[in-house]
Amino acid sequence: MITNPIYSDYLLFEKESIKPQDIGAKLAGYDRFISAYNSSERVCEVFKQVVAINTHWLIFPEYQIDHSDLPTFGTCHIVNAVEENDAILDYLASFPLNAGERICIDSTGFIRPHLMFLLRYLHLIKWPSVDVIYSEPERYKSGSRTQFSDHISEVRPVRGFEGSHSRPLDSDGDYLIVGCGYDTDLMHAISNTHKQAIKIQVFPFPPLRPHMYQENRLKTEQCQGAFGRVMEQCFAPGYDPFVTAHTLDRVVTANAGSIDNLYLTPLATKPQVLGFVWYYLAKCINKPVSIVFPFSKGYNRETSTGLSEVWRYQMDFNLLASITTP
Amino acid sequence: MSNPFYLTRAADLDDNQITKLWVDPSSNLMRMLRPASRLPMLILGGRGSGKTHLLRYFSYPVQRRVYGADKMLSHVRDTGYLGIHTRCMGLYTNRFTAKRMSESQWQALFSFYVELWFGQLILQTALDFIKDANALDSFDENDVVRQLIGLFDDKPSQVIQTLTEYSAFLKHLQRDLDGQVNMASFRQPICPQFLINSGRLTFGIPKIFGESIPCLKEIQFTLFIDEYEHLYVEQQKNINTLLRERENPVSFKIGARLHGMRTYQTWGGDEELKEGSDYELLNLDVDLRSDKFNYQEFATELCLARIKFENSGWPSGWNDQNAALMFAKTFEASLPVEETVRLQLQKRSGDSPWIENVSSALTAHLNVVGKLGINNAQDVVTILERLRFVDNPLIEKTSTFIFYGAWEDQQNLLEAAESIQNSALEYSLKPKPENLHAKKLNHFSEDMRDQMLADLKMDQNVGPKGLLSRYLGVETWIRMSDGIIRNFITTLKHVYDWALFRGEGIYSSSAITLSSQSQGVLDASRWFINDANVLESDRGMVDASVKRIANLLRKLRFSEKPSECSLCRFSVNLNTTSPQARRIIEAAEMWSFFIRDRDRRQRNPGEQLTVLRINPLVAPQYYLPVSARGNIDLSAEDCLAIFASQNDADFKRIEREKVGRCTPPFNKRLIDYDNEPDLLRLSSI
Repeated sequence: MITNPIYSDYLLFEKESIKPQDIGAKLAGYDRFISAYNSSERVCEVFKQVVAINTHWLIFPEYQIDHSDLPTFGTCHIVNAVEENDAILDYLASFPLNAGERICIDSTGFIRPHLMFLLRYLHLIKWPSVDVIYSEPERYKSGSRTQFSDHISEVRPVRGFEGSHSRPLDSDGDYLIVGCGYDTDLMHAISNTHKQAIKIQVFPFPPLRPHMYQENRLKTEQCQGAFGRVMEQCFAPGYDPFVTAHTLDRVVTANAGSIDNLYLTPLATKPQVLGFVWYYLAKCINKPVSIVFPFSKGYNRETSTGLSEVWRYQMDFNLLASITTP
Repeated sequence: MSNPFYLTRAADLDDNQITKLWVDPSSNLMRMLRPASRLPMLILGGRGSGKTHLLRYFSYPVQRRVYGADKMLSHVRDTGYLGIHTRCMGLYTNRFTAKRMSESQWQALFSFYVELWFGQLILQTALDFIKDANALDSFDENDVVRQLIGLFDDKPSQVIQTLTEYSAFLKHLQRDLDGQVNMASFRQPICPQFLINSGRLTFGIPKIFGESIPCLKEIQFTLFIDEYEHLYVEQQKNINTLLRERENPVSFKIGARLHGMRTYQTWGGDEELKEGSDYELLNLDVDLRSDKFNYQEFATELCLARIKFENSGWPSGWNDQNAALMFAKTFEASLPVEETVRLQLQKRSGDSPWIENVSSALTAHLNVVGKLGINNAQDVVTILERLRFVDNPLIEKTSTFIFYGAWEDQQNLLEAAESIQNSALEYSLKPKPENLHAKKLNHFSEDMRDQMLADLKMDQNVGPKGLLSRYLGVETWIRMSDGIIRNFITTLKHVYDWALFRGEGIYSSSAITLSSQSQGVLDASRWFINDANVLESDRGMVDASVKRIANLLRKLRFSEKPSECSLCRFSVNLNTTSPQARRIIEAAEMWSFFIRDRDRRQRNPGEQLTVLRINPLVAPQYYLPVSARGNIDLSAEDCLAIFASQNDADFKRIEREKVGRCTPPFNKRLIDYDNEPDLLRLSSI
């Protein structure tokens, strides 16, 4: 894989910004569309407009949706499993993949670990490619005070992203890269869990909306004490997973000589979550690298208002395999 | 200029800093830890008590920095041990759960994993020591490796001849096992290449080294296992079993949070670890607070070490002899409370607020106090004349306190006021021990001072001149940290942050202003509460419980007639408390919101009570005292309402009952919260 200050292979991957009025035209021709139901406008409206033969809602228990509030359009799959791997594998057992299917996944309402595992699984079975979309809000309902998650139940690696870590005698080889978001509890939990690690913070910049950068920095500052040793702060667009992946690659490569164990935690935007996954799939499998996450048993299902635009990312696993050093 | 207290956790320090910032006056910590002792040790302590710093300092890599690699042969021989530090967090042993596998399957795999984990650490440390001791040629490496390979029942297929190759072999096994455990997420079966019984490598490797390598003869391998609370119950059982079935030359020091030992059970039937025979216990913060450890000296020396390290030497004008004094003098001193009160009273016209409060209370309850000799408004005026003592606000305030006591005791209030007047005069001239004011002030002086500030509305909005002044100054912060050194460092961090932000010279006399100090101490208090990483639903309940009990203690403390002085403790019978309340109390204790006192008072014969107090670092947010004296007893019903009830109604009822007894008219009538005086609404917490 080629990455240098001028060019990066990560930039080969396609992305496209779609106006709300063009969703039906541009997001069409799919065999399967998968979305995670929550009551936000940007999730429901997009679901109605995407054109696919089969449209599936995943109903996550973390959103605590009553049976009476289930959507009446699309096919609902109620997730019963506690862990993300079981949740996704159970869904795929109920609705098996067919070779050649064109799949589109709406990441907007997806619980992060479940989204990550789904992509990991598709990569494992050598699925050629999948489109992932993300709908940007106009704003978060309570600005920097928006609460996204409930109490944290545990901090652990996401299934499928567990690395093989060493325990060197010297204490300075652990690095934690955090995609900093709005949720101080999550950032606090992960920093406290890895208090010994050297921290690198990745901020979504340019942000999804201009005011969100300030809000993001305010929230991160509130848990700066928990972060402790922050070696570097860097920036990757909040809407671009591939530049995010490139940024991670650059930062890790620059510190390669010092890193014994690497922990990645994407707590910012969904596109950045995709970026962390993409970097992991490109460079980190079977390495001492884990994507770790502070898990919560409940999430707020309506945190935003409006729909400003939709991003489509072509997660091309074949292309990734072709450019990745074995 | 940078903040010398910026990094507050041992985990944030690199090995060089761990070394340079180590403070151990009189080698007390070395004596407490006893790294070469064969009997394993459990080191329990609150967050920030210094467990990690202690364990890391005595580990081989840090000791090598302290003494130098070339001195390690003699040092290890003198001390008799090799210290191997490892942390349970970061290995994410929660990988060994679920994935549709049974507990017994995970037990076997985790046991094997622990052997590979410990085996690699022991091997690496021993190799480092052998190299430092220039002892690579002092033994038959092939023979040693042959013996190490013999620890496995099945021989590996590859050729292994050196210790480095053996270490690589163990690492390969670990990575293979990791890979399979990780792939189990995709429902792929796990078939490790080898399995090995628990203890084979942990005890086998050191034994072989001890017998075959001269420089390791009679040297103990001490495993410092830190952050034990991150292991699940079944995983702790595994290592507990190693502890119990320990073989020389290996021992263990396990560091865990309070209540971080999820179990004391082992895999040996129903056997549990027994204190005294299987392990000894070190309660780190309890011992640091105790008389046998000079905590004040320790805390001061630690600060000075930080300042010297940060500045690569002493600041200008400081030296080894005067550093402690110079440090103490950098903080602006606050005015004595009486001085502040006098200044505030001078700005007022009319009576002091506590005299006005007596007037209001008597007027509001004339129908009640009629039985106590007060029949009309003139009687009230007479009483106020007798209680006034304009020359000394503290005496005057105490007079009102004694007066409320007389009211509670249903005495004739006119006569009581006369006695109080005489006592006040006597006290101001030459008090005798039996003098009413002397007896009260002997216990309640701090409460009286704080109540005066509260009555004058000098809460946190007024800044450092008011109630916050009680929490300022180095000596106070050392007391507030209460044996948890990180709390002290964190307070200094926040104070210095504010001082630097304001451009104050942090190494000059009286440079760090009262404002910076008060802002800093409030930030530190908020940090302490937010830093607790209580997981899941306990977090919300612990937060609510701490607020409830702290608010209750505050309201009692600032009531007209508090029954106990310096009230910040409460006692419970954990045997009769509901399991849910007990769990929340223990969670709050684990996260150091509550500190367990040594007292175990007996209310009734045979009843054992556990006495807990609010962590002093929480105190500034609730205006609670830093020094703990007074205590309230909580019944099982009280505990249910405070620590286990999801809604506030039960707690409010308990609170009204208890506060009502300390508030005029001192009967069991529930106080009317809609009309409660502002005294009880000090802050919007």
